[in-house]
Order: sequence, then C-alpha cells, then structure tokens
Amino acid sequence: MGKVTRYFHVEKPDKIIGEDSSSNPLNSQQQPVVTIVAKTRSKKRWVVRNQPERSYGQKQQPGFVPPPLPRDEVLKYSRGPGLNPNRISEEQIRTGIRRAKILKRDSKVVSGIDQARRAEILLLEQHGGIEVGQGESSLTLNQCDIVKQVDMASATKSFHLTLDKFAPYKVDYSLNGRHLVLGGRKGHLAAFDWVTKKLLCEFNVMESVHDVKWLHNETMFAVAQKQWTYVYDNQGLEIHCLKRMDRVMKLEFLPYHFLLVGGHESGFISWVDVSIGKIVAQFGAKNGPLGVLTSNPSNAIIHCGHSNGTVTLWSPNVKSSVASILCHGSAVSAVAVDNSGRLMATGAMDGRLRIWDLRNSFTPLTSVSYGTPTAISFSQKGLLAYSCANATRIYSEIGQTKKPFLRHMSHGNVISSQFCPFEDVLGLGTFRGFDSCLVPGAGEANFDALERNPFQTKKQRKESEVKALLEKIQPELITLDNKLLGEVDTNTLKKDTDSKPTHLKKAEIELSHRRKRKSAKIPKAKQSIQSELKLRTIRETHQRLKKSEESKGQNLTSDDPLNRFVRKKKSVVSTPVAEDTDE
Amino acid sequence: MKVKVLSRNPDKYIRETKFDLHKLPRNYDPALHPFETAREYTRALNAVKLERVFAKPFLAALDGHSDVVSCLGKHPTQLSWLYSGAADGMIKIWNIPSRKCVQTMQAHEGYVRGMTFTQDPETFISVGDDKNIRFWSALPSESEEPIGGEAIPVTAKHNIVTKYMLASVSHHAKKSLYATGGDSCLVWEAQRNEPLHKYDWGVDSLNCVRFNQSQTNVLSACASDNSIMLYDIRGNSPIRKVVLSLRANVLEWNPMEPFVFVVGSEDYNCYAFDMRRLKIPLNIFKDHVSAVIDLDFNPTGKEFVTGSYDKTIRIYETDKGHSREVYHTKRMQRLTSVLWTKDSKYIISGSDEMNIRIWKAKAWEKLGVLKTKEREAFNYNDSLKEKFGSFPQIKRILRHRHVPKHVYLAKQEHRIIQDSKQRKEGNRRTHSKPGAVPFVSTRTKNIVSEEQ
Repeated sequence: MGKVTRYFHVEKPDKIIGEDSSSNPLNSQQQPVVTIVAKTRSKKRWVVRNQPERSYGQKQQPGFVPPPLPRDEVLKYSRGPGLNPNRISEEQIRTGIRRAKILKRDSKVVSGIDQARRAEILLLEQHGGIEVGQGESSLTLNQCDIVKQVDMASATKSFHLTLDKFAPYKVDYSLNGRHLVLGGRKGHLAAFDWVTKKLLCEFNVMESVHDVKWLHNETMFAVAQKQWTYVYDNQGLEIHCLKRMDRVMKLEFLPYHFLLVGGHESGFISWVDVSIGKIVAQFGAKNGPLGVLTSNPSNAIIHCGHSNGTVTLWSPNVKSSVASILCHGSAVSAVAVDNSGRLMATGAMDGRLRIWDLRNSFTPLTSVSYGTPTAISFSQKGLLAYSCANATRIYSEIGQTKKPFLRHMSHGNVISSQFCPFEDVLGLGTFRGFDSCLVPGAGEANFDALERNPFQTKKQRKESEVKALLEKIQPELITLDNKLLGEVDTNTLKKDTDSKPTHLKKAEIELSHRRKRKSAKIPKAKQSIQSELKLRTIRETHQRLKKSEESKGQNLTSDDPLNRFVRKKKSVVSTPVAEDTDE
Repeated sequence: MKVKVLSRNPDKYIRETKFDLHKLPRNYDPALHPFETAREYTRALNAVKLERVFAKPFLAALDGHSDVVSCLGKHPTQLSWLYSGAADGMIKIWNIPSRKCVQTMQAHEGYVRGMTFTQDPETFISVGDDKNIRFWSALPSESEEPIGGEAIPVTAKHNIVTKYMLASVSHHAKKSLYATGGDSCLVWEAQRNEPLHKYDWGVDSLNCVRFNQSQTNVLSACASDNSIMLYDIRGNSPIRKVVLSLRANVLEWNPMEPFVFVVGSEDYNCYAFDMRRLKIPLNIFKDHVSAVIDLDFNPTGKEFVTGSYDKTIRIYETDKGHSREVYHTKRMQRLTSVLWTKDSKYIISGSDEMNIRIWKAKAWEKLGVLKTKEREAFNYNDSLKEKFGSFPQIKRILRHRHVPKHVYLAKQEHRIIQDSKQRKEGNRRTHSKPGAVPFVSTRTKNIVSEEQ
C-alpha cells in the first residue's frame, strides 16, 4: 500500500463478500467489493511508529518483523531512559522538523540497543557454574573434586607453586588475564604466561618487595620495592626508577587513564601518568601508612582503608578526600570494589566483612564474620573471594546470602588474591607460595577482542597500545559520578544567561536540574504538630514555675528560723527550655 | 553435582593461516566497556584536532588571464571543464584535472558580464559590455592548443547585436529561452535578434537575473534600487518585489528547494527568502565584513559559498546564521565570482588579481579513493563531532579559524557598532513609555517593503 494510504483510505464493507467464498476455490475469482474514497490530505504530524514493529539492518523479506525483545533483556544495554515521544510537547521543540530529527536520533539509539542485544547470538562461550542437586552443597567441593569433573585443559589451571624461601607473595594478573607476576616479600620477582607456564623472567631485586602491578599490557610491570618504585619490562630489565614514589606499600593501575597509583608508608597517595612519566597529583591522606588501597574500576576513584576504621575516597583533582565512610570500629584490613562500581567490600581487624552500596547511600548491605580478612577481591561476574588466614571463602550474590558457596584451604596464610580476568580462576598469594584454583562462574566468558584480547598477537598488542594511548582519558575527568560528562551543564548555561547585558532579550529557559534534590521540607501537618508541642511545653514549664514559686512562698513563713538559709531570690533566670532539659 | 568451567578452544580464536583475517569476537556488554563517555569524548577531541590539522583547502591556482576575472561558468554535464570570462573580453576554457587552459577566445570588447549554458550542453551564451550576445561552442577543439596564452581567433556560433545594456544572463531550464538583465529585464528566444518580452518596473538597471531551474517559468532579478523582483514569464508584468535597505548584488535559487533563493547584499549579509512570503527572510547569514559579490549553491542545496569584497570566501549552511568556513590567502584580492562544482566537492573562485583558484569544499577532506576502514573511521569521527560538538573545549577547536588582520579588526569594529546600537535601543526602551519602542526582529530590520 505504502504511499497510497496517505491519500486514500480503503473502506471495507461491513461484511466482506469474499470471506465466505474464499474457502471455495471456484468462487475465488469473485473480488470483494472495495470502495476507494478520496480523502483530503490532513496536516499530519510526524508519526512515530511503535518501536518493536521496525525492521533494522539488512533488508528483510517484505512483511518480516523481528519479534520484540523482553524489556529486562534489553535493559542491560540501556544507557538510561530515552525520550518518550508522547511526552515531548510542542513548547519544548517548536518546529516539526527539529522534533522529527530528535526523535530520529533517539530511535537510532533504541535500535542500537536492540541490535546489541540481538548480537548476543554471536557470542561463542557460555559461563561456567556449579549445578547443585537437591540435598547437596557446593561447599563440600574442594579443588580435587572440581579438577576431576573438568576437561584436561581446565584442569591444568588449578595448580600450586611452592615458593617458601621468599614468601609471602603478592600476585597480579595482566589486564587480558594471560600473564601473571609474582612478587615475594624477600625480593623474588617472577613473570610468566601462566596458561602455558612459559616463564618470561625471574630474578631477585635483593630488597623487600611490597607490591607488584602489570601496566597497560604484558610488556611492563611496576614493583614497589623497599625504597623506590621500579618499572621492569617482561625480560626483567629495569626501565624506570620512580623516585617520587618512595616507600610505597600498595600499587594500583588505572588502565584507561594510564595512571599508576601508589599508597605511601608516609600516608601520601600519588598518581603517576606512566605515558609521560609525570606526577599528576600527590596528596597526604594524614591517616597513617596506606597499605590498604584499591581502585573503583567504574570511575577510577581510589579507595583507601585506614587504621581508624574509615575508608576514604580520592580523586587526583581534589586535595582532600571526596568522601569518607566510617566502615568499622577497628582498623580496615582490606578493601575491594566490584566491576560495576556498585558494591564495596571492606574487612577489618574486628573480623568482620561488610558490603556497602556505593551508588548513593553508602549504607552497609550485609556483614559476615569469619575472621580478619587479609585479602578481598571481586571477580568480573561479581563473585567475592574473602580470605582470612589460610581459608578463602567465595560468595555469589553477596548482597542476598551470607553463606559462601565455595571454600578453599591454602597451605599458607593468604596475603593477596585476585581473580584472573576472562578465566574461572582465582590466584592466591600465600606465605607458602602461590595457589591457582578453579572457581566456576567467576570470569567473563566472552571477551571483546577490541578491548582486551587474551589471544592477541604481537602486532595486535602494538596496535591496541597505540589506540589506548590515543584514547587516554585525562585525569581531570575522574569524578565520583562518572556520568557527569554526559549530562547537561546547566550551571554554565545559567551563568551565561545571567551575565547577558540587561538591554538584551533573554531566552526563557527553565534551568532545573533533573536530579536536583529538593530541600528537606517538613510537611505542613508535621510543622503544626511540632509548633503545638513547643507551645505546650512552654505553657507547662511556665505553670510549673509558677506553682513552685507559690509553694515556696507557702512553705516558708517570714518568722521561720530556717528562713535565713534561703537564698534571696532575684529573678527567675532559667529559661523554660533549660528547665525542660534538666528534667 | 555438575561443575562447568570456562574452557576456550584456541582454534576458535586464532586464525588458521597467516593469510586469514584475525578473529575478533565482540561483546557489546557495557560492563566490558567502562568509561564509555569519557573515552568517546577523548576520541571526539582527537577527531576535531585532526580535522584542524588536515584542513588544507587550497588546491591550485589557474593562472592565465591578463585582467580581472569577471565571471565563471560550469558545464552542465562535464565536471572537468571550467569557463571563465575576464574584464578584457577574453573567455578561457580550462581543463580542471590537468589545470591547464585549453582554449582562449576574444569574446567581447570590454567586460564579459555573464555566461550561461543552453539546453544543448555544447553551447554557451556570453554577454558583454559591447552589447553583444554571443553563442559559443563549449567543446574546445583539440587541435587548437594555445601558445603563450594568446587568443586564437575562434568565431562565435552566433552573434546578436543589441541596443541594450547587458549585465547578466540566465537560461531557461527547459525551453530555449534566456533572460538578460541591464536597463530592463529582457527575455529572448534562441538566436532571435529581438527580445520576446521586456519587463519594466520603474527601475534603471538590473545587475543580476536568474531563472528558477525547477519552477521553470519563474525569473528573478536584483535591481539597483535595492529591490528584488520576481517575474513569471507567462505573464506580461512582474509579479512581486521586495525592497531591502541596501542593494542586492547577486541572487541564486536553491537547487533543491524551488521556493527558496538567497541574495548576497551590499550590507555584508546574505538573505534567504521564500518566494511566497517575502516579508520576512527565512534566514540571515552574517560574517562577511564587506559587500557580498557572488554566491553559488552546493548542488545538495544545503550549503552555499559566497565571495566577498573583503577578500574572503565563506561557506554557509542554509540552516545556520554564521559561516562554517572561511578561505583566504595572502595573494587573493577582492572576489568577483565563486562557483560550487557539480560534484559538490570543490569550490572555484575568481578574483581581482586575475587568478582562478580551486578549493576543497570540505577543508579537511581526504581526496581520492578511500578504503572501507578509512571511510568508516571518517564517518565515526563525524558522528563524534556532532555528538560532542557543544562541549566547550571541542567547540572552541571546531570553531577556530584564522582570518586576515583586516577582517579581524573590521569584525571587532562591527561588533562594537552593533553593541552600541543595541545598547542605545535598550536604553531608549527603558526610558520611554512601555511599548513605544517595540522589539523589532533582526530579520525584518533590513526589509523596507514588499510590493505586489
């Protein structure tokens, strides 16, 4: 029909004559009577069709409409609520052309989300997991049981390295999960491809090693040594010595900002841009040595745990902490933030592990206590590993359950743990060496090869390095709310309009921020009650005072011998409020 | 209990031979792409910086005329031919790819005032100060290679000697009719010695006439009494007239929107009008600091180029009020004519100092064949620029253009003048009876009257 419907509309008779006869092939030649009536062309507004009815991408067969997707499946890809075409009034967008343009742009976003969801069909792998039957508990599983049930390639991923001499070990997996670096407290450093077990380098720096961290790819890693922080390449060659980062206890790396973050023994935090080798910021947290430090992967804010039980949040743009949360009554021993940036796990010396909601309220969700956590880490899929002494407990959906679903006992006490990206593997650095254990369902099954690729070739690595450097996010963009950049800057707009000369006509723009919090107003009903209460207390105290005065006057007559001990009354000084509080 | 652990088969991820393409599995889950906005913003910043780095619009100068280039013409079907007329009466035919003049002819005595192509693309018409209308063959004969730029005697196909002043010429889109401007608007039929129609509206001279190429019977003209007139050649008299505060130098119809035309005015601005409603212009295009001498539309109808007396070329988008681009060189003098080629990729300008210049329409565009990946990258960058174009840092880089000092200073001066006028009006408004000094929109300020 297409164009024709714009000018004519087909009037169907109430009873279609052909309907009855259609089943009879002999009568099929008989056409249903259709009258075509010319319609005056009405001024049509831009019509937005229902979204599910649209067809995308490749030309489909005529009449093919892809089935609509369930809303909750698409929600994962959504970047926030789009425009509601019915709610865009004509005052907001005056011209039809502009309105159509905006709606078109919005519909592109919608179809993009839809396509992203439909592209899931191309994903190659499925997530791991444990299927628990009735009456069974996954807690009874140990590594031997798991290894027995999995294929040979995966079985090799569960192993133990006995390294007694230079223990305890700090561990770090490279960003694509392919390489591992181990740093023994007594100076032993080893970097290797842990999947093939091919050693890249192994040497002893002959001084204490406090932390190790891979930089943006597997060619370089940073080591916090006794005095300074060093950068080595994968051959073990010393490339840099960062003397500004001295006596660092904990290292973090922000890969999209190329920032190496160190927590100093002196209580300072420093951010070093490793692409240009400059210190971006260095602030004193003034709260003791910074041995507990982690980064929020979603907004690049640094979380520091202190000995007074607080966790402070730091950005390189603000001299003081952006937020300070009192998490525990005793010293914080470990901090971890999950991939989405919604949950924070803190452990303290009181033996508690608490989960916090970071989104808006900073409130504790759950609390678990098995012993002082020495290492906590979140996996890509949101599993939490909680190590105390030599036991590591792994939780799934920590917000809802308090019971771990898997447990692992190491030979020595655990001091550092990390889930391997894109693998179902947890690496544990202990006092007896290194443990690699299988945790089904921990890693992201389908990697994006243009983001992190475990199978990348040398050339791809070089290309991605150049791309990553070009896209390096400036440290000024680190904010607590990482959506700030995508929002309308109403403050500047308002300033601009306010600064316009008075003789110019000003545009009437309503500059109310969408998420602006309303001032806490007490409802009127409450207000009246409160004022009534106040009045009542004032009245009562007044009466009480009067009574006491009268009683005093009544009890003591002028000729009483005890009268001389009574203090001479000047005036009633005490205010009714003070009186009230005394009682 | 069943345990399933992630185990990847490397064969799925590694290419089999080195001649294969690398396998790049994608996953669009936002959780795997953190800092989306910040990274896109950085990419957008890089894109605008690269745009400015690669913005080198000047391609070539065609040197050969020995007097002011007065008019330019483009072939209706051939992209490679360019026609130019000069103040000494010479017409040159240029081959743009080889950047050479292929033919020179002494067309008129004195100025060549205008040229236009007939329906037959092999013939073009030129008018000159010598009151002659001449028909020429548009195809240069290959044997006649000019030596030392000297005119080889080429005779016109046809010559009409008239008694009228001829300032401009424009051909009908479908019929073999053409109009000339001068003392009055004349419509001629092909190769007839006398005009078919003569339109007068009490005007001394018309400096520009243009046929509408879509509404083919509509003809428009700019007159020296600051008016713009519309004619229908089916009738005997002009149909409509609008008077501006200053003279319009040039008029051009939008090739895609038949009702719309743009005039370049002596008051430094261009005005877009809807033919049906001349009272309020659709848009005003500001930025020039001197009179607009010539303008030409992009064949897409979304942009046009102007050449001005301030020695700059500017490119305007029809839906914006200010230019998106300004071109200038140290040696380029007052512009006399500009042209947008039919493939919408190049701009050609003729100027007072006898040179013809070729420019890219998009200053940063990469010429030649693009590989698919390149094209995708350019498209992606374009959409990033659009998405983040209003961010102050990006906007600043996108908008920044270096202009010659005289333009810069003139601009400052005009701003001061404008501000003081506005201030004065505002003061007057505040100190007089409410409503006594009404707000007048900028669009209507320069429109004097509309006559039927």
